[in-house]
Amino acid sequence: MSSGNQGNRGLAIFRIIASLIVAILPLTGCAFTTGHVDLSYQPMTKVTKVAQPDSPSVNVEVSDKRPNPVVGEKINGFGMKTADIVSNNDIPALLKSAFETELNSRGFTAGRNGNTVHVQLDNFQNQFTLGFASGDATASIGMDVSIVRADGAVPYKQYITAQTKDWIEVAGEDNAQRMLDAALHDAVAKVFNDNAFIDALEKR
Amino acid sequence: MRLIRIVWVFALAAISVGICSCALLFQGTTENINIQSDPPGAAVTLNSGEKGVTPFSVTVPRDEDLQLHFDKPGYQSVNLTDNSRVEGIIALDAIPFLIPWAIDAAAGAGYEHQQSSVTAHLAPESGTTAGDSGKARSQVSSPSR
Repeated sequence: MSSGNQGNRGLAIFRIIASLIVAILPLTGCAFTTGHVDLSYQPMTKVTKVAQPDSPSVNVEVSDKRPNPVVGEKINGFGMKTADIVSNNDIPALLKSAFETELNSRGFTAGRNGNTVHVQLDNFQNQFTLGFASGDATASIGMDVSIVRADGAVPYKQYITAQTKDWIEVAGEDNAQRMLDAALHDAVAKVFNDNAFIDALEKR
Repeated sequence: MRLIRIVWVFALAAISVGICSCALLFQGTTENINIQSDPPGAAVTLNSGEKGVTPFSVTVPRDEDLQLHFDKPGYQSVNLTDNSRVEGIIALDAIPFLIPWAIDAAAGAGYEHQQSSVTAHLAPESGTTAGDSGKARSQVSSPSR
């Protein structure tokens, strides 16, 4: 009789524990599959042409010095990293295209005989962090931007960082993509809003 | 028999309160990171945009990954990372049904950076020393944690 009671009690405890696990699991938001983002560059608005007819042509070169191509990591409800987020785009190519777009809208012509804008991409990633009832997505970009003249002189060299942050409900690809797109726009805007950068481009 | 159950309940409650969100209570949500370089005097830019010249220290949120860019004229620039990770002490929070864990995780107190001291060894831009293979060496000293 007593062994039967013990068996029932054991079963009851097992059911309680199993119920707790089942109840908690959906709350943790575990996602173990690699996420993919489609990044895009939103060009700057209210841009005026600054290039003169005799301004030298500009060539853009981007080198990728990131330690790995991962652009973020998903996290679960306890803040543990569960899966990588990678980009479907070639990020150096996207960055090159963004620079070329902005140069073109300012009237600079593409060419290899004038100045070269060297961009060394060091960091391009989003991080999710937990908060109470919601969390944060923080995208960071770090890149070394320099202008090299045809004679090898370097009239401009600057390390540019951009960071965008916003609250999120879900630590998934969509929010990572949104923040990375915003950080990319911010980083490129910082370069093109720098008068020293534009001044250096206008001279041979 | 009933007394033993009551004692158990009180004991569990006491343990829960005692270790509830202990990371948040005892160590807060930020930590100091010492940043150095060899040679000193390198300009450092953090991913947050914060800048400093080595040696210096910064107070950063425990749950935020750090990316550091070291730059010094005449030396190759170096990039280092000091990522945040879940701290071992947070495992204690699992005992009272994971709720304190969630609090520590949400507040950011249950994390720590992999290194409390980051040191970059900068290689000269030209005439690198033997064994450097022409590439900047980067090394992170990690005090035992």
